[in-house]
Amino acid sequence: MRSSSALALVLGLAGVSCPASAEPHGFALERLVQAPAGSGGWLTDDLRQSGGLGGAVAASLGYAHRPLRVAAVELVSAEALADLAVTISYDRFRFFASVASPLYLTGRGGTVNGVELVPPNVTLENHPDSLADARLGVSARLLGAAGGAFRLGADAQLFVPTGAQEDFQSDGTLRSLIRVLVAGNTSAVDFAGALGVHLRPRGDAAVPVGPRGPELQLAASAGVRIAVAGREGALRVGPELFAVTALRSAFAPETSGVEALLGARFEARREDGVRYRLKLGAGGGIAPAFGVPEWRVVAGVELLGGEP
Amino acid sequence: MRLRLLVLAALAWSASAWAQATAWGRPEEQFDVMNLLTDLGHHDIVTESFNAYGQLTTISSWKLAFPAAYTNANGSPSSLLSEAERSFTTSATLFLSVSSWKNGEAYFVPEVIAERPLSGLHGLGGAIQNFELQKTGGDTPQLYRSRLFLRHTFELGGEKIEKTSDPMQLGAHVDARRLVLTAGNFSTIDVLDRNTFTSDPRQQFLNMAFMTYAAFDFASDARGYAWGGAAELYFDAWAVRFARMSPPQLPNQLQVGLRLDQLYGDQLELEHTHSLFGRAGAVRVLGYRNRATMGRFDDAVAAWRADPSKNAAACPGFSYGSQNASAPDLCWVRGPNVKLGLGVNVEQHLTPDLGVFFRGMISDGESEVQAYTSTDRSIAFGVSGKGGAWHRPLDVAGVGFAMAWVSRPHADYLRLGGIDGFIGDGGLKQAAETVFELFYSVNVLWALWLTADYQHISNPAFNADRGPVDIVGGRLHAEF
Repeated sequence: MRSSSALALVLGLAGVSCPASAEPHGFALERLVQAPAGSGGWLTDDLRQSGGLGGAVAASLGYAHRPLRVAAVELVSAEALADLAVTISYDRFRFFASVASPLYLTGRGGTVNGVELVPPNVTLENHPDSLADARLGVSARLLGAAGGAFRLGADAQLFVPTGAQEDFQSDGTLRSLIRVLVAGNTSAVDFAGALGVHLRPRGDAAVPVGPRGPELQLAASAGVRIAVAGREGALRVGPELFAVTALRSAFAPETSGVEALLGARFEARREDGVRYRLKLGAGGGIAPAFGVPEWRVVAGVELLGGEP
Repeated sequence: MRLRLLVLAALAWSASAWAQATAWGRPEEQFDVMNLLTDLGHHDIVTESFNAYGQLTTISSWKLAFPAAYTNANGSPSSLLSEAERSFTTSATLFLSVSSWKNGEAYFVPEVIAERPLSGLHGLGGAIQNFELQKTGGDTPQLYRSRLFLRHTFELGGEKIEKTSDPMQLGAHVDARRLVLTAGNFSTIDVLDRNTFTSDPRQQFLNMAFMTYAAFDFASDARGYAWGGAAELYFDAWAVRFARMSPPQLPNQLQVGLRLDQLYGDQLELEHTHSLFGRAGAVRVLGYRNRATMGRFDDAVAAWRADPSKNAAACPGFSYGSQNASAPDLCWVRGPNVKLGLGVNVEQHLTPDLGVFFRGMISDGESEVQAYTSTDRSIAFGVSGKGGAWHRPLDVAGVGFAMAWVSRPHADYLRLGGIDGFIGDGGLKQAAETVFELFYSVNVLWALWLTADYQHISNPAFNADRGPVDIVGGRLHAEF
């Protein structure tokens, strides 16, 4: 291949180039950045990775209702995504990747402040094989034992612009997320949190409520563990909270969002020894910003190998 | 649109990978991550709960200048350009497989591709020189989900046979009698029309004429994948396979139709494996029936004769962009139509490392190509083998010959200046399109191959007024 083509491929694989769409105003809408496969709840990492080589795969389906309104225009009225994720863990590290497939996105167009807004139109028929931005990441438990009362860690995530802007699945640029993680547990209660910065170069979205550059992100969760009688399993139920604000106009109502989920997770072991988790979550927006829906449901399954 | 062919090619690769697993197997000396994990004691490769494989393939093709009495005559845009050209594809694929439940498997295969076809993927009928070319894509790498499907096996008894760990195949022991159900997003030729010696274009022949039947217009999107379901019943040496898959909404486009009760591609295959003089072989008979949105050639010609304003330059809707105002066009007559085809696929080992193959198919030739190639009838045969005899067991070599024809209605339509998804020179002196291909793949290191390839194509686009065409190619292929 020509050197330019080879370069394009290399850069594309690295996520440095390949803006996905000619549509000028689309951006990565989804706010529910899931925790790595096998790492705990929907939003937070339990920092329990330890021991030898292990891993997890996860698949989930999610639906968000009215995740993007611009003035009176319901630009994205429905969004359904399938998310697939894989994690490899070793000692105190997790290396993870995930990518979502947009299954259904729809909305209504309109004009706001002289900007013509074009809604997405995604179905399996007209987008039979499309993917959103791919995510690569690493997390590490820095302080505390895997089963200890308190653990401190960090993660870094890279979002490669493989999605289409017109489908509201990508900013068209590389993004990254760097966070400090905490987790711990008592005899019956788990808690975890994350605080970090979403390095989002895009701050010029034509959509009035679109991205405004780097964002501060907070995620927190707590859960009660309930043993399931007669089975080698456990149920964990608890709330999860996600908040974001653009650093450029921190805590301003139009650039800040808060969303809460009530999550439930059942964990058990198959006949062949593989552990699995069934997860459910439901909730909605408390303070609206782009990507924070009126309500959301999400369901998933995880298969885990290696150290328990 | 022609990029769709590329997708089909990728699908064919997967079929080949499967075929390797059943016939040649994965050589122990070949490097891959799963064997490495097994050697380190972290994985059970015989009975797997998961596996992950990957590949990277770069193919370059150089087409030499060739003689042509005319090119893109009268505003037709679909000729193979007669000047020298270069084409390339680069693809990278991850094959992720997991045991989802007892006897259940889940597969996810993301893929990225960059490509540049010859002449905009125009001007070759069944002999498109690089199987990887898709009908959508470009120089900029594009990531997509090629496959996402579930599989369940119902064990029905018989002796246990080993399925070796491979891309899209978990290592396992299964009953020789079993029912395998597959549903989701995959390719028809992931399941049907396997052939040990000619279904793996990333290791074997490059030309699409050898990937599957050139005349097998199997339902798929512009990349070669589709949504649907398949059932495979294995009973010792016999197998029956059926698949219903989603056709494109319009011929050779990425968008698919999911109302499989209305428009669909059905295929039924009967397979018998045998031993001849102590060597393994197989015979397969495959029939397909597509009900999809297509135009019939005779209908297009009749519409144009009845009203010459219904010509190619005046198409009101979806068309392939011909500006020939004196030619018929399929755009005027597209609607739900049926296409039928019947083919035979034979493979036979001559030695443990060497085998011969034959494929032949007849399609009805009444309606346009909707997903694969413009061919209506095709044969392909040749020999392929590994280099064990000369102490290069991971080298692969092959020589093959393929011929393809168009039907009488198809030829009449082309002669009048009509075009379909891939061909149409503005005129036609009808002849069989043929391709001779010779390749040698050198295993350079571990799981890295370098291939030299030569193709000689006569009567491109079934037109004796053009060609012959010589294409030399190179392939760099890595597996991990």
